[in-house]
Amino acid sequence: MKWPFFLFLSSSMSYGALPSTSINVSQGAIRLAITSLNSGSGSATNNSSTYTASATAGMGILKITGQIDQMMPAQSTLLATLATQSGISTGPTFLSTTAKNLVTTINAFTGFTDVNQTINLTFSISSGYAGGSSLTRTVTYTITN
Amino acid sequence: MVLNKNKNQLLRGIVFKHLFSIALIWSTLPALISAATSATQVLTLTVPISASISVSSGAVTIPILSLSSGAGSATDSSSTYTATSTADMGTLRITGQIDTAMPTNSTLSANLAAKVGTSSGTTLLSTTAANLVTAIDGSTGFTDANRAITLTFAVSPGYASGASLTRTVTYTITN
Repeated sequence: MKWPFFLFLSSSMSYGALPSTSINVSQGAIRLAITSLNSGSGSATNNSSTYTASATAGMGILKITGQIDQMMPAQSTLLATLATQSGISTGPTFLSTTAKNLVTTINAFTGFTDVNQTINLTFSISSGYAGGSSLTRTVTYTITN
Repeated sequence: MVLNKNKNQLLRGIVFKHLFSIALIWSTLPALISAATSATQVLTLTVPISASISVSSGAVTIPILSLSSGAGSATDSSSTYTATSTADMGTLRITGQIDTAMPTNSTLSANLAAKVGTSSGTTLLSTTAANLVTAIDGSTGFTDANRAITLTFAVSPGYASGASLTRTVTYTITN
């Protein structure tokens, strides 16, 4: 008669707090300035910012995605590379308005914290670019199942 | 008594059954939670505004093969130019000039084809810049690739400046 109650209480104590995830970035604003062009092509890279991601236990397998709020103009690209210790980085990945995997296979069954991992961003244009001399894009990084 | 005992057993069974269900749901709750947390970064992306022009051939020979009453001409259209600009460059033009004035009774003219702007047609070159293409819309950036350059060297009676000349033509894209 007491046995099931014991099982229930034991289970509730293991998960006294709901599992959760978090991700934050060290710099909310980044400037990528192409300073010179060669035959209409050029690029700029910034790796000064980092992210910290974490999850409590029981979150299963997680991934980090990235997407931008507006499409990049023709003949221009924005690449993101997220370093990781807990998952697998997908390497340089073109950002678009649909979420792209940047880090996959983060094992969060027992919780994890990945602190100050480098965010590498590269803005490139090629000949024929006509998207203006200054653009603003918001990158959203999401940690999710 | 027997009836009450059976009722109690039935109730216990129901309670046990639900307790197991609750325990099962609670234990698997983490896997059922769809956790999505986000962070954002605002990127300012800047591009230098610039315009460029290049030619396909750095050296051209224009030989006049024959004269008629001391006059003759030769044309070369083997080379092309490619002009491009980033956005915000306003209205652009392409000019051409030579490094040294042509001798008396000779001329060098250039005609640049254009798709984006307006060609000035055949234009005499001198040591001051002459418009070859005008009204190029550089407000949103452009590329005009592999457009023909037609150069014409002509002499007229009285030309007396030697059998061979060298001139450097400078093409400039500017506002």
